[in-house]
Amino acid sequence: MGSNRTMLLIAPAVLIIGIFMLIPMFIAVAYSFMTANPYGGVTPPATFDAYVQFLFQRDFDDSLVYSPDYIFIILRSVYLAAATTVVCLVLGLPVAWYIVCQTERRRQALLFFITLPFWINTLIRTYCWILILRDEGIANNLLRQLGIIAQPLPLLYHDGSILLGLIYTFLPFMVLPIYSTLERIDPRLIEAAYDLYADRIAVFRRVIWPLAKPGALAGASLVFAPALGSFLAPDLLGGGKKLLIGSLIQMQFTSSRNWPFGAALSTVIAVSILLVLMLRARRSGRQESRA
Amino acid sequence: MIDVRGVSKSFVTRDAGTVDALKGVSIEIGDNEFFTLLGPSGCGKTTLLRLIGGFEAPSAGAIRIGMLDVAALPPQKRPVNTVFQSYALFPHMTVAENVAFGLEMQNWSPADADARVKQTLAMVRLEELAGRRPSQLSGGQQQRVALARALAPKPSVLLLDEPLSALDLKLRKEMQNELKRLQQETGITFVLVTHDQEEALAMSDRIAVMRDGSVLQVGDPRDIYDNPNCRFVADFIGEANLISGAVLGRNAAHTVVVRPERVEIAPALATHAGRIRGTILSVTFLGLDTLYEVTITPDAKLRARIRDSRETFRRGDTVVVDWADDFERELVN
Repeated sequence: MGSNRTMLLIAPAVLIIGIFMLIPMFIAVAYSFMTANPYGGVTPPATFDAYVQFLFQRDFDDSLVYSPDYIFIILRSVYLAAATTVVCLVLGLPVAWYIVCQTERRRQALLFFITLPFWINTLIRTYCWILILRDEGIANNLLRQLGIIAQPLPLLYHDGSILLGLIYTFLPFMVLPIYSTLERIDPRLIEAAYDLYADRIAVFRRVIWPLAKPGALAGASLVFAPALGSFLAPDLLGGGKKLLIGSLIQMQFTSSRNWPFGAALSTVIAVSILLVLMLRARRSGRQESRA
Repeated sequence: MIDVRGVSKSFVTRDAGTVDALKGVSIEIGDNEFFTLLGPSGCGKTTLLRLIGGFEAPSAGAIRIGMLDVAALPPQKRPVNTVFQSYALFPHMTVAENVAFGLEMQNWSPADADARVKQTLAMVRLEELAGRRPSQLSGGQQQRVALARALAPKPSVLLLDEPLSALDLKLRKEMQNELKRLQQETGITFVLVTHDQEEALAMSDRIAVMRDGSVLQVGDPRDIYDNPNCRFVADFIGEANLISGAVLGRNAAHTVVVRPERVEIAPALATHAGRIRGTILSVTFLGLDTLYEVTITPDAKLRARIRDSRETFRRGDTVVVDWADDFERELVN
C-alpha cells in the first residue's frame, strides 16, 4: 500500500526521465546496431558494421584496413571541447564573482544580460561572428581604419575561430552554475578567513575555490559535453575544412544517410563521457571518505 | 590595550541616505580586561567591534591596539581575532582544520600547529570531535570551535559578536562561565558585544552602555547598576522605577531612579507616613520574591520587589511606599 503510493508519486519523475532521456538514448544505441538504408533511416538486419566502420576502412577487395581517422577526429574534438571548458572556467569564475559582489538590483540586471543571448537563435548569433571576423568584417575594417594593419588578418576558418565560437556559445553555462554556488557563500566566511591572517590569494585558494568547486564542476560538464557535440561553430566559423565529431555525426543523418554510423559515433562519445564522469565520481567519493 | 579615540562611522544607504552609526566614540580598554559593549540593536556596538576587527574603516578618529595604530590595517594584519555571531566556521574543513587555519596562515610549523590545535581544542573540551565537520556539531559545539579557532593564534585581543545569542538559555549560562574562565586562563583582552544586560553584568569587568552611536556610560557592572548616569542606562540595566520629581514634590525636571528591590511597602497607618501613599494595583508571586505594582497617581506607577515579607497585601490595599535615601538617584532629565 505504502510502496504503491510511493511508486505513484515518483511516477511523473520516472516518466519524464524515461521519455526525455532514456528512450532517445536507447533508440540511438539500437540504431547503431542496424543496417543503413540508402534512403535514410535504418533497416534490419542487426550488425556491428557501424562500429567496424569506426575503426576500419573497407578496401576495394572488401578487406578491412585499420584506420584511425575517426579516432583523430574525436581526439581533436575532445581537445577543442576541453580548451573551451578551460577558457570558459577561467573567464566564468571572475565574471560570476563580480556579479555576486554587486547589489541585489545590479545582480539581477547582470544575470539578465548573461542569459540574453539565449533569446536569439544560436545559428544567427554564430553567423554574426562571421560578419565580425571575415576579411571585410567589422574587426578587420576597424583595425584597418585605425591604421593598425594594412592587410586583413585571417580571423576566420581555423581552430582559433572555432574555439572563439564555442567559448562564446557556452560561456553562460559556466557562469550560471558557478554564480549559484558563489552566491551561497556566507560573506562572514571570507571575513573570518581575513581575520585569521589569510591574504587575498589564501582566501581564494582555501575558502572561495573549495566552496565554488561543485559549481565549477557542474559548469564544466555543461560546457564540455555540448561543446564536444557542437557542429554550428565548427561548420560556420571553421569553414568545415577539418571535420569535428559533431559535424561528422550531423552529416551521417543528413547528406551521408548513414544513420547507424551516426548513432554509433554518438554512442561511442556518450559511453566515453559516462566513463569519465564515473571515474571522477569514484575519485571524489574516495576523497570524501578519506576526509 | 585598545584605545578608541573620537571614532565616527557613517554609512551611505540607498533608502535612508547617510546613517551615522557611530558619533565620536572614545573608549579605553585595558590589558586582560573583559570589556562589554552593551546596547539595544542599532546602537552601533557591532559597528564599533567591526572597526576594531578591521572589517570597516572609521570615517573619523583613531584606533590603537597596543602601540599599533590600526586604522589603516586590514583584518589580517591585526593581532585580533573574532568570534562571529553565526560562528562562520568553514563548512568544508574539519574542526581541527578550522582551528589550524589561522596557524597555517601565520606559517606555524606543522608540529607546533598540531600541538596548538590539540591544546586549544582541549581548552574548549572538544578533543574527541577534531575530525568532525561543522555541520555534524550542535550549536554549542560549533560555538566552542569558533572560540578555539579564534584563540589558537594567540591574539592579544579577542572580539566576540553576540556569541551566545543563538544558544538556548541553559547553554548560554554554561557558556557565560566558560567564556569568563577562558578569559581568565588566557589573560587575553575580551571585547564582547551583546544586547543582553544580564549577560553583560555576569561576565564583564567593565561595561560601556551605548545608544544611537554614542557611549552613554562606562563603568564596572555594580557601578553601572547602582549609579546610572541617565534614564536610559537606569532603564536598560536591570529593572528601575523612573519617577518624575513632581510626583515626589521635588523639581519636576528631575527623575528619581529607584530599583524595585529597594522599595519597601507598609500598611497605611496614621503613625507611619512613609515617603508617598499608593494603592496596590497587582500582586505577582515569583517564589522567593513578590512583585507589587503600586499606583501612586493616575499616571505614576511603582514596582516593588519584596523578599520574605511577613505582611502580604492585596489588590486595592492602600499602602505607604518608602526607600532608603542611599538607594535613590536623582537625575536631571
